[in-house]
Amino acid sequence: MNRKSTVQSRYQRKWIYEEIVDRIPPFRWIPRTYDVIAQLLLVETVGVFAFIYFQMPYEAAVFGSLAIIYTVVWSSGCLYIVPWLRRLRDPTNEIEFEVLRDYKSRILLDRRLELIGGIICFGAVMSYLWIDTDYLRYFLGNGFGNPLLIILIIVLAWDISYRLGLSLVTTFFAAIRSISLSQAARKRRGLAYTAYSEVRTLKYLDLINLYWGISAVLLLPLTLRSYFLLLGLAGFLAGIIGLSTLSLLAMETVPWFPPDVESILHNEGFAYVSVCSKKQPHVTPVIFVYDGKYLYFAISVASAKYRIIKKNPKIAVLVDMRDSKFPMKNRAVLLRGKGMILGDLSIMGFFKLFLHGLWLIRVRNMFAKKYPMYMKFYEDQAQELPPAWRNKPFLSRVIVRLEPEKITYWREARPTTLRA
Amino acid sequence: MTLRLPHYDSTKKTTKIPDDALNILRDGFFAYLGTADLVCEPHVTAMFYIWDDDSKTIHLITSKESKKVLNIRRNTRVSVTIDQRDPKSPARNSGVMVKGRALLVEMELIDDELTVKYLEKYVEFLGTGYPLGLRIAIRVVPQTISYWKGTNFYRWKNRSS
Repeated sequence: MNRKSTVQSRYQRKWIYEEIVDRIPPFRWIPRTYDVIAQLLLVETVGVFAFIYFQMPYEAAVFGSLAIIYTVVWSSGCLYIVPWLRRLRDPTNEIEFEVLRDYKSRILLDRRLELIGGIICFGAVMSYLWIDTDYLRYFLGNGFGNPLLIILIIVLAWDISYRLGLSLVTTFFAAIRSISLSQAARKRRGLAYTAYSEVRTLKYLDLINLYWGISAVLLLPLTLRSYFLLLGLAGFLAGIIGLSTLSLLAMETVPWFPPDVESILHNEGFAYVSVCSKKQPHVTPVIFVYDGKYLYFAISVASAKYRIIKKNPKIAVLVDMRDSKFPMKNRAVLLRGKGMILGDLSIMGFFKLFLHGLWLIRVRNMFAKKYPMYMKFYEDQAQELPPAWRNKPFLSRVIVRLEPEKITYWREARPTTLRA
Repeated sequence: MTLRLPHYDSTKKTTKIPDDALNILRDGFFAYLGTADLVCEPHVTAMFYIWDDDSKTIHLITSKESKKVLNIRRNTRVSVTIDQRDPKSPARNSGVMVKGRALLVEMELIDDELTVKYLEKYVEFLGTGYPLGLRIAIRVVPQTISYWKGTNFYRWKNRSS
């Protein structure tokens, strides 16, 4: 059902930076993790030599080093996440598949798009340095005008411009991708969806993109001496932060499961929770709510489930549509993953209460909406029930939050394993 | 508002399986079979089952390659839950949880009478071309049977095994 990733070997084109790291001698001999350190040492050594030889002011050394650190931070991020982006698996929904394919081909295959931001930025910086010579004169001191130093400055300016430009381009396309993905996700049918680990990966990539962008703050001291550069950097940071926020917000609206699974999770009233202690499974029915990402169920602190989940948080929850007359109407979803207990009476529990207080109120309201009769029962008969059954938060009832890791969906006894 | 620790005492111990529990076992339509693998990762599925009154065992029939059979081959401890749901009031919910050991039995070795009863019970689901040859039966021998009705809990322990 799932296609292989679209980025085939034919398309294995790399970003210029990666090509350099893969082909050019000092870098190609060492493993990728050390490339970044080698780069740092190389450029820094050249810089320090220049600093000593031309007797530049100290600011030049410090701010120049910050700029070099920026390029290195960016590079380490690039070497880390780009292979990840290439490995991204395809959604089963046709429209989402198109969206992600376009995104990947724009980011990874189109060299023009890769370079355009860098070239614009480089052009602007170079022409500024050409016009406003005082800026460079201040930093370079005696060495101003030396051809070797000019080459060094050009290389450094290109390094930085290329990274800034590429950051902006990737963030821009990430924002476009997120918005179209969230639009495409609304048109899902049946079992079509984007596996949520992929959604999570994309969100994570966006977050890294944001850190990348923000690491440009390291360039701030360099730009403080000129309005033009400061304005450019501020514009860049604002662009990155704005676009990344937009992208992250759009990704939040992408549902984690296909519509068939969602409808079962939203509409069915009972779930069967299986927990395991000392190799002995334990299955009990519970009432639950589902908020689009996590599944919550309430258990009593007197129950065996509570004791077991505290020791072994692995949980399997089966939610099924059952009908003993029509075989067609039998469907089930099995979610497996780790459970987290919210709101229990312990030191960690109190600490978590600060983190999850509002969340718990929300879950409680969801329960009240989904099971009005049950909540009424708990309120009316509170005095007659055994203490462990009373619906008192924290004292007798806790909420377990399940984050699904594996999903299996059955339709008429035929299982389909969905990638989480 | 006092905090009390787990109420083990609220579970009543019985010397024989409560009649209501037996009724649920006889009449229930779906059973939820919980299995676990060696690292104690649980798995649960909805299944058809048949309760055998004479031997006091549950038989479930499934395909040979399924995950639950794989789990049972490694870890024979299972738990089967059969319940009656009431969407109105939790006090009327009742159910039975059977914890016990599972045995994998080839279909040929299952009592014919039981197979016929099973096929009759689920005639609408299984259809005519039910491939019994690809199936394997799971026989669950109860060790403890927990029964609950509303807030009352009963537990029966199998002393003979």
